[in-house]
Amino acid sequence: MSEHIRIKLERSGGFAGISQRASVDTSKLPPDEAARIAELVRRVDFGALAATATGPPRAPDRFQYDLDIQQGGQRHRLTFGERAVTPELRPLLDHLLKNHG
Amino acid sequence: MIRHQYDPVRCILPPDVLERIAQHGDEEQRRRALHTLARDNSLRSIRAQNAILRAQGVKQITQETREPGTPDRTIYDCATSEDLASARVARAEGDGPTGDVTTDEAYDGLGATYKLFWDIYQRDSIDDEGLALKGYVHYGDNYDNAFWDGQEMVFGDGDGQLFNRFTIAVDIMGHELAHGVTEDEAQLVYFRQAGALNEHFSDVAGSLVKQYLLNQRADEADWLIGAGLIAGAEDQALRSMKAPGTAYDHPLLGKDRQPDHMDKYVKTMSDNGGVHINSGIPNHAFYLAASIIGGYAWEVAGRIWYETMRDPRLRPTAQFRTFARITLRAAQRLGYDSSSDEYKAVQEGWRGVGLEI
Repeated sequence: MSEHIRIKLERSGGFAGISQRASVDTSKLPPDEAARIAELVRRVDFGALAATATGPPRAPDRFQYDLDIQQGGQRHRLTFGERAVTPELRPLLDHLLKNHG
Repeated sequence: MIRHQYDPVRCILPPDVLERIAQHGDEEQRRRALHTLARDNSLRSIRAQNAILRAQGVKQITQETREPGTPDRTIYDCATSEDLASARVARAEGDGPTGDVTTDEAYDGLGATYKLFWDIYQRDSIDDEGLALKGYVHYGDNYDNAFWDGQEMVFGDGDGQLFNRFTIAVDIMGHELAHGVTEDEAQLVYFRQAGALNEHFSDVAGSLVKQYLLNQRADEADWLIGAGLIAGAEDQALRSMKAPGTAYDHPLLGKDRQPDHMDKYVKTMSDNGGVHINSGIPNHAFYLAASIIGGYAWEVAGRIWYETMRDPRLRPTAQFRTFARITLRAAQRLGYDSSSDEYKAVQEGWRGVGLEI
C-alpha cells in the first residue's frame, strides 16, 4: 500500500486574475482515483522542480502556481509560473484543477 | 571591466547593460554581447547590435525602411499547439479577412491598438520604432488565457465553459500590446504595487482603445475590461474601472475581488502579489480623473498617463503614491499647472481612491 498524498494547489494570475484551487487527500479518495493521483505524482521530479520554482513568475498575464504536496515524510511547497511546467508535471496540475477543485 | 548580471531565465541582457557594453566594454565583452543579441532580431536588439558594431568599426545591420503610421501585423495560427515556432501565418499585414473569427479579431484589435497609439500619442508601435506586431491565436488546448511574452501576444480559445476566446474583446488586445509598451518605457516590475501599475496601464490602454474605436466620451464608455469573455455570462466582464469589485459574480469563478480604494488594498502572494487585483485602485483613479475632466478620455487623462509612463523618474519598482505624484508632474509638463481644472481633476481622482497628493 502506498503512502497517502496530500496536495493543495492554487492557480492564480492570468489575464483574468482569478484564482482556482484544488486539494486532495488520497486517503479519502476511492482507490482507483487515489492510484491515479499517485501515478501522476510519481512522474514528477519535485526536487528538480524546486530548482526552477523560484517564486511568482513576474511575467505579464501568465499563470502562477502554488503547490503544496506532502507524501510520506516529505513536503514540497513550490511557487512557479507556466513556463516552469514540464510535460511530466502538466497532467497532474490539469487533473487536479479539473477534478478536485 | 564591467560587472553585469544576466537574466538566467531569458538570457537577454537588459537594454541599459547592452548600451554600457557598447560604450565601455572590452573586446571580449562586446563579442559576447553581440553573440547573444544575434539571436534576437527585434529592433531594440538591432539598435544595440549596431552600437556595438560601430564601436568595432564594422558595417551596420540595416532594417528595411517603412513609413511610420501603419502597423506591421502578422497573425499566426498555433492550431492548439503551445509551440509558437510551429505556428503558421494566418493573416499578414494587408491581407483581407480570413473568416476565422479569432484571427480576424486579433488582426483588427492589434490594428485598433496601433491606431490609438499612433493617432493620439504619435507612438509608432510598441517600441516607437515600428516593431512588428505578432499575434498568436488558437494557442494551446482550451487555454483560458492571453499574454504578452516579451516579443509577441498570445491568445487562447478558452475552454468554452468558463471562458470564451480571448480575442472576444478589443481591450484584451490593447491590454497585451500595452505590456510591450510598458516593457519599453517604464519596465514596471510585475510584482506587488509596481506590478499592479503595470496591469493598470494595460487596462487603461485597453479601455482607451475600445473608447477610441467606438468614439465614446468618458461618460459614454462602459469602462469594462474583458466584457463578453465569461462563457454563459457575456453581460459580465472581468474588471470594471468605474466600479471595481462589481464586474463579475459567477457560481464557479466567484466574485470580482478588486478594491476601489487603498483602504481595501489586498495583501497576497498569489497573482504575483495581487497585480490583477490591486490594479483596481489606480484604474478607478484614472476613471475618476477622466470623468471629471470630461470629453474623450484619451485626450487629456490618457495623455497625462502616457507621459507618466515615459517619465524617467518612474522607476521599475514605483509604488502607487510615486506614480500618482508623477501623473501631476506629467500634467504640469503638458501645460496643466496646479491651478488648472485638469490638474485638480487628477488630484481628485487619486483622492477618490485614498491617495492624497
